[in-house]
Amino acid sequence: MKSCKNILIAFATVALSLTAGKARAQYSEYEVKAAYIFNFAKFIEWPADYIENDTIYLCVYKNDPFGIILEKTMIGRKANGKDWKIIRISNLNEAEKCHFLIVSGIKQHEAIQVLKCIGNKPIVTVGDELNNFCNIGGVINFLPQFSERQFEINKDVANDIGIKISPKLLLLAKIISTKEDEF
Amino acid sequence: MISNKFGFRSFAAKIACCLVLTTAALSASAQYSQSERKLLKTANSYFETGRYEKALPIYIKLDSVIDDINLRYQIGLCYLKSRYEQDKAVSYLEEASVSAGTLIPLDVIWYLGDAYHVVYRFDDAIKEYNKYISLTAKNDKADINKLNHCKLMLATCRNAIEITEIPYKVDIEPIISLYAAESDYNPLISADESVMLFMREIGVGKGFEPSTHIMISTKENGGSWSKPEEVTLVLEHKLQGHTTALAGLSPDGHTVFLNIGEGLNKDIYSAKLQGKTISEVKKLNKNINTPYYEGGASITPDGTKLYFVSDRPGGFGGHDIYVSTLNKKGEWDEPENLGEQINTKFNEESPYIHYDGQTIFFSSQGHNTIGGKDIFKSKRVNGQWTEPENLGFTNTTIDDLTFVLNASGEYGYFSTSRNNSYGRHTIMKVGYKDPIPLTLVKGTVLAGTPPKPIKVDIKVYDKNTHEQVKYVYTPDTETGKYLMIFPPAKNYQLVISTQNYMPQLINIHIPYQNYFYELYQEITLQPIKLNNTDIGEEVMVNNVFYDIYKTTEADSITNNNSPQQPQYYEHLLELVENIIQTSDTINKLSYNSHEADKQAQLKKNTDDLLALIEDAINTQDSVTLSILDANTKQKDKVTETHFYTDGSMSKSVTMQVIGKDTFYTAAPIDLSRFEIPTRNRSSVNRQESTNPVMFKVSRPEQRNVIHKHTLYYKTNESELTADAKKELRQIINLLIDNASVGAEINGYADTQGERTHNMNLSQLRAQNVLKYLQENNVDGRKIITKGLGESTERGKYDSRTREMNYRRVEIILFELKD
Repeated sequence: MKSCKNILIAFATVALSLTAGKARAQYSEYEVKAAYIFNFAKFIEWPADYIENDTIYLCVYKNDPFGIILEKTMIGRKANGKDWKIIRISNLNEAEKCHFLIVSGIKQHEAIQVLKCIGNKPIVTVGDELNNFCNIGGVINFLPQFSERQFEINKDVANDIGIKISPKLLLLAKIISTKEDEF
Repeated sequence: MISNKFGFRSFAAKIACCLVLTTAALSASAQYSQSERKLLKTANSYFETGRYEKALPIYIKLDSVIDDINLRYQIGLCYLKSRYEQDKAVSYLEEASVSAGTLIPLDVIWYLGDAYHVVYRFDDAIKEYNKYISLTAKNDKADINKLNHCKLMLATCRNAIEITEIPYKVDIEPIISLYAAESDYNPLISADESVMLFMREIGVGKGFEPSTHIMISTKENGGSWSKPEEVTLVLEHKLQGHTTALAGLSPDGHTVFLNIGEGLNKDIYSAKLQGKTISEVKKLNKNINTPYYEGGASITPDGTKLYFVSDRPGGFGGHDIYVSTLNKKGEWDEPENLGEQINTKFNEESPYIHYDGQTIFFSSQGHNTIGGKDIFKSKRVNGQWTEPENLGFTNTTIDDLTFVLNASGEYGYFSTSRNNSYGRHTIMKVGYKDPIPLTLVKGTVLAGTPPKPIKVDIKVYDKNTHEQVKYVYTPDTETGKYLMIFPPAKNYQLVISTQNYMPQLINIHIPYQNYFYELYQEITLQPIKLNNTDIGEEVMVNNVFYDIYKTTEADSITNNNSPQQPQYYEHLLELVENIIQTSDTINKLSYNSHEADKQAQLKKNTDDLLALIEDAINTQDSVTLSILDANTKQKDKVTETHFYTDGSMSKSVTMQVIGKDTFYTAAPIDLSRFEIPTRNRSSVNRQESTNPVMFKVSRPEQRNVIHKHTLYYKTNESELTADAKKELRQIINLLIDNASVGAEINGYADTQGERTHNMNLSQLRAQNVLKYLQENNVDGRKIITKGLGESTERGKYDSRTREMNYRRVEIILFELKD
């Protein structure tokens, strides 16, 4: 009971801070997801030479549920001093330069193909609520609304491909591990 | 001030001999030189033929050199009678009135009354009209028409006082981006406000003959109206050169109604609007168009009723509003007059039937106007139109013509010349708080990879009555966009037919609602290929709901239906909702900003969101993220995969008979679970089952057969017998209880009769089994059906086999190997 009360107070405070200064409240699903991706860039480190010209390449593979939202969120804003470039690709050969690769609306067997194709390149794959995306080797996966956490991260895959994810981000994520010895 | 007694005397003398002085052809006074007299003659002839804007500059020129009260009277009349600068008439007519003293000509009185009315000085106008009436009471030669005019204007002024005293509960603002210092009027919108058409008159008040143009503006991404462009009008030769004006626009914005013709015989034409081009202009049938005037058309969202204006005989006088219904042949029936509740002996114009089909806005000179034509609103209650109500805020003392309202009833558009002394109209947007509980379904149909718009027909059926909603919704082939409007608490089935895909059935459940909301829907059709052969197709339906109005009642509805959430969570949602609501209202009240501010606001919203998430990550504040999550407008996806049973495109999994049509379709996608606005919806509904699909794409060698069962049929029979159903019971249980078990259903026929008939028969047998399994809650996606035709080669008939064995369905249950 006590904890419940505490939570309520915490919620009340947060709710106030959430709405203060914000006029037209509700955001759409993809506005929020785009905002997450923007912030992921601030808490992720790529290998030193992987980012050229201080530009983060955000790639969307085939299905693009974001539309103009990505441009509206990313373009004209810098994440840790870096600009954004958004590329929509239909062929994974074009994924060469990508820092993020958004994968949405595809079946698991196709997702496996995508991840296989990317291999060990330091690309942060972001699944859009794809079943088992992190279990099959994706780095980040958005979880459906009302899940306990909003996204999951496979930190083993991140380690393997040389990407450092801030513990702050990890603490908020549902952690997926593919290395059996950690269980 | 008036020193010219002679002129005045001649003026008074004229009144003495003729009470009715309208165009006052003045006897020349001494001051007029020969050339001035000539000028005056020209001006008078212009005046007499109603060309006031031509007469006016000449009178003004003469007035600058000659001091003559008659001239000033003429100038006042020119101002009053022309469309331009009517407000200037008052001072000239007042002058004439004062100078005349007790010998005032009667006409000056009632013209001054009119001038006062135009500038909203209703009390002064009433005094003048009363004066006219009392003066003429003693005079049996009084002009009865003018007397009637005064009586009518008295009533009008009293109305005006009453109506203009009511404060408007609306926000009105001009649409800055449309503004071009020209006269813009007759705005027409699509239900979702994505397109606006309007008329532009170029050159009003500039001394030359104004030209009219049809303009188009579209909503840009930021929600502002684009800079208007003139539409390209493709007209066949015989229509060119006629006056062409806008008459109406269909709710989906794809059909335009035009008013084309000369003089008193104008007719209504329908045309296609695609991009910025109006083409395929066709005249409506003879029930709509007569040798009289027809114009101003408005069609209901289901496309079955057309409201329009006509002055054909048999009405109540002047232009009346009629309604015609689309008959079974798809033609417009003999129209009905809307009746005396709506139509008066004066003119009624520009009907606009709202998307709810129950509210009509129209312009009328009758009823309780405040002057000229005003916009009125009436509702249909129990088959009767209610007494038209003066809309108030749109109306001025001169003509007001069109009012349109978006589907939610939130925003309306009209044009007004208020505060413009040249009589130029400006298009205004009005925030109009009168929510109408409709659901607007707006979406796109895309097909192929990458998805592109495709030419499709959407038929809509009422699920309860199985009747087709008559209108066929043809999405725009360039964009694939469609728009439909539904009343609450009904179930509909959409049948989407296209050339290269199988017809698809999508169920839509429109919940009971007392507020307006919009459903954005994206339907994607995609072929499924295996080794480069099409083996099926996938239909994906993405839905996003937007609640435009969240009222307390609506909340209680959604809360009752919402999945069980922990108690504190509900409290939390309420709390957040309340705060958001409050800030929203405040924002709306002070909402008068320009587009730039709106853009800035949008940018700020994104900044806020980015900062919110960053702060949450920095402080590991998962609670904030949960709240954000709970408040997110979610996009829902439903995917249905559908496989061709035998590789041919002619048959598919299930058969549905709706009305008179038979559809072979994928299992219906049930959207009924969307009845709860997403905010409170649980994620349970959102599982996408991808596994069943794996059964379908599995190769025979991947399957572990666990059970086989065979059903036998009588010659030419395909229906399941009661015994067969009993036998299937166990198989159904097995399939339901074991997610890992799929089934292959192979239909066969014997060799009697035609080969193609046998192929169809074998398919029908297999499909009937599938149908029965599905009726008993087996997931159809786990099942592969095939009609394999004749079960043996012709001529190789084995006499040892019982004939019945050839007419069978084999059901093979299998699991997939790892």
